[in-house]
Amino acid sequence: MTHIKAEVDGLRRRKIRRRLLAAGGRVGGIVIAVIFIVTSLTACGSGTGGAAGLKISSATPPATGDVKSVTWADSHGEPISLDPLKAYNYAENTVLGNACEALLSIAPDFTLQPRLASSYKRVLPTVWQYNIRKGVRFWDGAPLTAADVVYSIQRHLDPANASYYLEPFGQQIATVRATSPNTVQITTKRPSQIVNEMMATGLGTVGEAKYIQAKGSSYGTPRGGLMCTGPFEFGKWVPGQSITLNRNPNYWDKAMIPRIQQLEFRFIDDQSLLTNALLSGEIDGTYEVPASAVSQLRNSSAGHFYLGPALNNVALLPTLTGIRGPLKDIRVRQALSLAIDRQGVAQTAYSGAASPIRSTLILPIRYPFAPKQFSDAYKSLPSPTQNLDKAKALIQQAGAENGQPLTMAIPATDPASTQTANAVVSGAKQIGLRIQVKQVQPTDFDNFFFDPKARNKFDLALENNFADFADPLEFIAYAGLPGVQNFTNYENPKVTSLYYAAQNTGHDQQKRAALTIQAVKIFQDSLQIIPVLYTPERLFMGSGITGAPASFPYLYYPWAAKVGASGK
Amino acid sequence: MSFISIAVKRVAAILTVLLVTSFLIFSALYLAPGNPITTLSGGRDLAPAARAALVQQYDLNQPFLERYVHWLGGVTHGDFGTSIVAQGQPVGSLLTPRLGTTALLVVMSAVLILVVGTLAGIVAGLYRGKLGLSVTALAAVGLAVPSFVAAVLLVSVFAVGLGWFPVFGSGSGFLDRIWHLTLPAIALAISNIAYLARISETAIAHEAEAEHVATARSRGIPNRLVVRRHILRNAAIPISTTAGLITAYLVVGASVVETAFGVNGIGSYLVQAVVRSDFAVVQAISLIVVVAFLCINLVVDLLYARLDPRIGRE
Repeated sequence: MTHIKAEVDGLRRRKIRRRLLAAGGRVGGIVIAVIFIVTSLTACGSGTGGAAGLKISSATPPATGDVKSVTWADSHGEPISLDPLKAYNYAENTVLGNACEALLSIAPDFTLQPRLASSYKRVLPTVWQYNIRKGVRFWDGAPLTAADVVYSIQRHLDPANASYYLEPFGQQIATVRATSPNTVQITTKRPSQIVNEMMATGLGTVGEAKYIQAKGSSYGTPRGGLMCTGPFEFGKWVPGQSITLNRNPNYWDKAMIPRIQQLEFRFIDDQSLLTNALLSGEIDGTYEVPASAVSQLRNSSAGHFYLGPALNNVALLPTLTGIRGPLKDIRVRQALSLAIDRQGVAQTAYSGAASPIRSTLILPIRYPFAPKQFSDAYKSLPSPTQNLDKAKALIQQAGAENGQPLTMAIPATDPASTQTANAVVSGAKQIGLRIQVKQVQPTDFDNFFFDPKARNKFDLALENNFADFADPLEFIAYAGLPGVQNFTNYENPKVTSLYYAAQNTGHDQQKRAALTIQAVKIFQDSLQIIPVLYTPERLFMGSGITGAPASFPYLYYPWAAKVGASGK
Repeated sequence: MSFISIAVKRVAAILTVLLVTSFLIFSALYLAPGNPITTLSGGRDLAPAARAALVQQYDLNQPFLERYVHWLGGVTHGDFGTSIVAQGQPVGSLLTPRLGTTALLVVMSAVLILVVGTLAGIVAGLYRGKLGLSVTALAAVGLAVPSFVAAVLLVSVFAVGLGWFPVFGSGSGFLDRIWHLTLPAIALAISNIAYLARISETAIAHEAEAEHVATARSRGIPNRLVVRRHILRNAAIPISTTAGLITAYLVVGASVVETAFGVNGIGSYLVQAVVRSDFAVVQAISLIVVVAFLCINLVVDLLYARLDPRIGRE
């Protein structure tokens, strides 16, 4: 599903998934500000080159040997819980994917791959069948059964459990049942493709039914632990400090037996702290390297910095208030888009670890299905080059010059967002649009996704967005169909019918892609969302280790099983 | 009035203050914006069943006074309630490991401040020449260095640059903890050392110019004795007052330093809990900070009575 993400020192947000993370980074704002001044000064001198063509690859050199222990940063702080019901955020999924497996998983190249389901197929337009892999055992030795799978999924569907996955996709499921000891059938209320992708997330994550029942509400907490099938076993969780996982020597997938004996996750969501810990080698690696640390880490001898494919982007979202005001005229939105110096922002705010983007729905990545269709579609979208003359002309045509200033909300304490906002404001000023930036506290900013009243106090919001899977249908479900996260109440019967048609294509991926692209183009042309930047995955590994895939789906993949000694 | 009766009176006063502050802390959070249910649900609209279950689990449906009495009753037994963010874990078990870390940090920092600050003050107060002036100048610089700036500098020089100390964390085992907490303790101490040095310097210089000191010197009493009995002893009252206040504030100041160094203590935990609206944790830590503050003040008050017998007699 598509989400809109805000990355605010340790706090990220998805569209539906609310991601409220530890405060460390935020409260260390002053410290960050100081560090930031220092790093931005150094950034000026360190000429980052990759503006035009970023070098992006999910591959990192494969591990060559075993390693006793690895200390990895959970860069979004301490997980709220590791129970899949609540594991909805970076902090949780960075850890969880290595311990607990789902029916399917999203590989580093974005393909949907069988995991605990050895295969799956559509048996009716609304029924998908998953064949449960044989010979898989939980850490305690008990065999994985269809009953464990059904129990694990059904937990999400009981409203009393308040699963984060219930809305909107869990709700599409009508029934989950075991049709034999090794098969599970999921019936959806309408034909659905996304149900498979959801089976790679927490919704499809399987734990041992007996254990979960015995632990009750303490399942997934420091007291209750976990009981799953993954390559790493739950070791211990020291509140406020760390979670330790241990190698599962009996892991069923012999190709993925971990090389790490003990994997410790330290909770560090303070940007400066994390940067220093990586530079000094106290932390071996992390995903989601802070944008403010890119230039420092890229030039560090302590390890390697990688940019990998991701579904992350930065965009300007008009709110309902905004779209009823001056932004009502699409020419004003087009002009605003043309006024932004995206290339410049990518350099200043992200030290070159970003590039201009044409759409937030289809991204400049290789799609796991119909890749050529998607990449052609991306290329056919208008290029986002700054063009002030054209923008000025559009503003004059619309008669919108020197009107009331627009208000733009940005997350407070995030240096990259502040710099991006400055670029938007200065571009807008040159074409005669006035924009006032309002910094909003991260927790309040978070509310934008659940409370239209909160966001409608502003005309625009500068957001960091992401999708979970390489499937634009997910984003359309949120932003293009009626729902609480549809900021402008956009509704277009054509988009809606294309969405449902694409959901009903079964195994025909060409048809699915064609319908999806049609829907995306209609939605994109309406400029309900003004795309700004593509921000690839930022990964850092110390020189002693290697192997972690530099790719966004690490959230749904046992990535640590690939990590080992680099031989250096 | 005897020393004992002073102590009894002070303890009674402390208990009264505690009762009042406990009420203030509890009601302040009751009035604070933000709703525990919102925190629990992650901002989503919950099904009525899920909402009712949460209200029940966290006793959110009782009237205010009943909740206060219930909470206070628990606190007196060491039960601070359950953490909303940590999925219902008892607050006590979450605080215990962190309390030790913060206590060690505060003690290390306090020792640094007392020893270095007082010594610097004595030097600057007694030797008014170049040595004294340079100490005074250094103190002026130190005063201008807030702990978070000191943290940034210390980390880049001694942790990332020289690699002598770890960048973050609290360590395990006694010596490892001391090693981990050295830079945080220094960062926390720097401006306070400077402050105490300035206070001591002023107090000592003031006493050194007093008439009784001139009299003592004119009677031929050796300088060593004059300094110890007539200058330092008299200057000890303002110095110990300041030292007490500084130490009490260290408990609060620890939150900044703990956050900057990623130390898992109650200071950084307080900040996290505030942002996450983890009310039970905020209440517990606030109360602990108040208790620490009061205890340190009690020690200072009792010290007065020892230093200046007149205070005891009044």
